[in-house]
Amino acid sequence: MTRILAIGAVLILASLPFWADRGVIFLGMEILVVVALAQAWNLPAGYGGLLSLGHHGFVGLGGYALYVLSRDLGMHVLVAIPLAGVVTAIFALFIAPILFRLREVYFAVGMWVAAEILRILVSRSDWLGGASGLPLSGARDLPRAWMGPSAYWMALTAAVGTTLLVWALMRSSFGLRLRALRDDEAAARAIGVKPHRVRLIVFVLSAGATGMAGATMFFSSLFISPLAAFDMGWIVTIVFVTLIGGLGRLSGPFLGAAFYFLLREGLADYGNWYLIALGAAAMAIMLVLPGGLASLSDRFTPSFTKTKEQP
Amino acid sequence: MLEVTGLKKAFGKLTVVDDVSTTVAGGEAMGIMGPNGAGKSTFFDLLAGATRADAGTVRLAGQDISTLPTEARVEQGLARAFQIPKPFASLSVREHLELAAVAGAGLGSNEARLEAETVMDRTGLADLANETGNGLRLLDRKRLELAKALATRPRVILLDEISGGLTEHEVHELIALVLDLKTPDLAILWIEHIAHALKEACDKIMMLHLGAKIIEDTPDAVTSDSRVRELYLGAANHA
Repeated sequence: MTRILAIGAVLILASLPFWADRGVIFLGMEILVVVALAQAWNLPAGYGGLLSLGHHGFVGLGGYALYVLSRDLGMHVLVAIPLAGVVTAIFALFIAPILFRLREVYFAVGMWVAAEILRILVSRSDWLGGASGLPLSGARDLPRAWMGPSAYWMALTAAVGTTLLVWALMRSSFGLRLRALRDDEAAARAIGVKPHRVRLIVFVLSAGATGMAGATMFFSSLFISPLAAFDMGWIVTIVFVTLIGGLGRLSGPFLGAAFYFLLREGLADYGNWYLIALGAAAMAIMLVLPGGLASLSDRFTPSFTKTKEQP
Repeated sequence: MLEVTGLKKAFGKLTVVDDVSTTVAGGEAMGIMGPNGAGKSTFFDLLAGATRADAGTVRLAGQDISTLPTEARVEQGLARAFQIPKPFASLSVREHLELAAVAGAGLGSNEARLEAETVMDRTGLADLANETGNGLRLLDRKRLELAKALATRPRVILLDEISGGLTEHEVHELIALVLDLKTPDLAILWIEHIAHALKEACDKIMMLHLGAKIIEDTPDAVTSDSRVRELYLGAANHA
């Protein structure tokens, strides 16, 4: 039943560019990108206990990867966007041995520093357009009218893809490994779980999904600059959306994103007040509902179904 | 099955495990006794790879596993049931065992599901399959600890005071469980303070004191040894 509903919802979402105007399509794309980003961040943070404050580094890297693949290799943008995710994943694979020496809060800060270093390196590189940025040379790969819808469908693919990825992972024995590690690492190792390998897989998948979502976002803007690409605002949004929605829950990023965009659009006429409202709402939810909006459903279901509900 | 030679561990100037050598064959159960601070749990830490030994080797079925990390030793067939049960808060009993079968014994997910059922039947956990680790009473947590170790399909199993905190009746249930584990391809090492539990279940007993092995013999010979009486049983009688 849930599956039929989910498939129906995806089909309706996919048809949106045929009946909505440009503004709605753009907003829909933005929402879906945030869902994908939050889902990708939730995988290591919510299920694996690997809290990163540097995922905006992967957003920017994915964006720049798209621009370079399009400019230097002449790749079609719709091919380059998923490939930008692959590039980001490979990058994560290489920085993991250094960052994994840090644990918990040190890892979180280490990730943030890594993202800052990326931003500085990119803004000093002439090849990448320096501080002023780059235009998207593949902008003419598609007819102008198809740009918005294409970005939207890419974002939908990223959001649905990351959700399915997390869902499938958590249903498999890999999900058991991840949850066991989060609950008690020593006990998990004592039954043969390899902590390093499990975290590496989760980290690399998360980086790849984040890179693809970032590439989608900057595909639609047709221009990329280090300030916009490696903006701390990304990670702030990702963390807020995931915490408000529900850390370690599949529905968390959807609920959190809905809440975030309702507030942002609802208070659009009042400048940056939505940020203050968001902060206050986040604090209130964390105090009243530490499990996020997704945990609301627990309050109305008997406790014996809880273990099944939690993916 | 398990061959330990010259195992040593010191923390600073304090020698905790002092040149311990022993062998346990498949089908054999060895009890380990000793007063508090004798180095029993550290000895298990060294065998399981939770702590790296300063000197000495641990061989499992002829293969040197001394330098492997814990999880690799588990794959080789060395499992441990902890003194303080460590259930995973968010996993059901069945999931605990499926994970142990997948990660520890390298089974596929279908085989692992069957293995979990088998182990639950064997350890009396079948009725609690969907309970999470946190919802179990002490005896069942201890059973789960044992069941997790079994689901990794061990060749050597380390039992660390699994009867601690249980009632007399529950201890007997556990002894029956351990006796039931005895098969020709499993070596059992069991740390326990309750002497009669070890006497009932073990083929031999090793006595540790200040990290060193004092005696290793049949349960009757060990419990009637004068040094052991003085060190351990004497102390236990006073307590």
